[in-house]
Amino acid sequence: MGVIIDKEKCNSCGLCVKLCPGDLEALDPKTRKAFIWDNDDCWNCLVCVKHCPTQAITLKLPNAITKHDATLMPKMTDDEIDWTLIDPDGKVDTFKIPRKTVR
Amino acid sequence: MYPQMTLWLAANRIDPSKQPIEIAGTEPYIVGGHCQAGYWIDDGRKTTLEGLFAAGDVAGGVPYKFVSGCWAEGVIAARTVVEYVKNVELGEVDDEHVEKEIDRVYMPMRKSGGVRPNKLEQELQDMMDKYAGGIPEYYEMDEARLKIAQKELQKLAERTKDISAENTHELMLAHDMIDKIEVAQVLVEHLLFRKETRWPAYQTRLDYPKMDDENWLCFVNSRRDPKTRKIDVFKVPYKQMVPGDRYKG
Repeated sequence: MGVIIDKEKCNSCGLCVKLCPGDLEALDPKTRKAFIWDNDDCWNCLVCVKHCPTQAITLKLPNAITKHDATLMPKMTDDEIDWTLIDPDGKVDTFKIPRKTVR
Repeated sequence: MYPQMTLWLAANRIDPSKQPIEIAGTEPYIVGGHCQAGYWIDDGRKTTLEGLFAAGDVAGGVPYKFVSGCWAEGVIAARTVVEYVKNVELGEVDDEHVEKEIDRVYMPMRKSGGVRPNKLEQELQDMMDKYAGGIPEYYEMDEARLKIAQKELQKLAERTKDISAENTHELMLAHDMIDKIEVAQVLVEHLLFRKETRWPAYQTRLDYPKMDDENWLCFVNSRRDPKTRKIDVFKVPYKQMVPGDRYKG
């Protein structure tokens, strides 16, 4: 389980570091780019993927449970999450899920 | 459905509307809020250790709390804490004690070539799975295997003295490992003590496969002597809160 962080896209804002419930993400002291300490400890909660302002973080399934590439990317709006799923054959599916708020 | 499930189905070219999905039971969480185990707490979430409060998975007694239940318990605990700190007076902290604590915490980083925390974690996981009723054993256990777990845990606990960490993240994992072995030791003592099957599929004692209300309709608590490290396990009476036959809804 885990995520891949695109160093080119990372703008060093540190939001993922603040949000990760497992305390797994950090900024490299030299390059100021985000990295994950250990993907084995990632629970795929996707909080960093959802909130990354530059969409630099993607969910990666381990190759032990999948043989093909597929991608799933969320885009947050104020009241919903727009998900885009691309399967290994390039077929695109989209779903809109309302965001839950607690007030 | 969790997002990673959606991705997994797509990546494996499975259309759940056409193809049935294979499922299996996993992770019954004997320790934590999913089951009944956890620290003994009062209504205000105060534990039996002065000044320590518990909420969520670490607080026992109420199964299936999940996230919202943990949040509610956090609020209850916070209210009790606010009342508690009003009467707390700050004591003196002795420098020597602080130095000792720093040494204890950073020791794994001052060593090199010791056992790495994730290596020890894998060994703990494999051993507990095999001898203390893990997933490959379908959560079934018996006294003979639990006694092996007891011995193996003692060896693992001794090896934590040689644990080493290359960075602060690994340092955290090193202390996690020391604590996990301690929790596993307590868990094995509890599983050995309760000679019945109270939670089939969570805790199935093959040598005592029936539920036995006559002897075991009670809680099992334990305490560890900080000096001798001995774990003392004992029964605490069960008190029925709602009157009536508890087996009829």
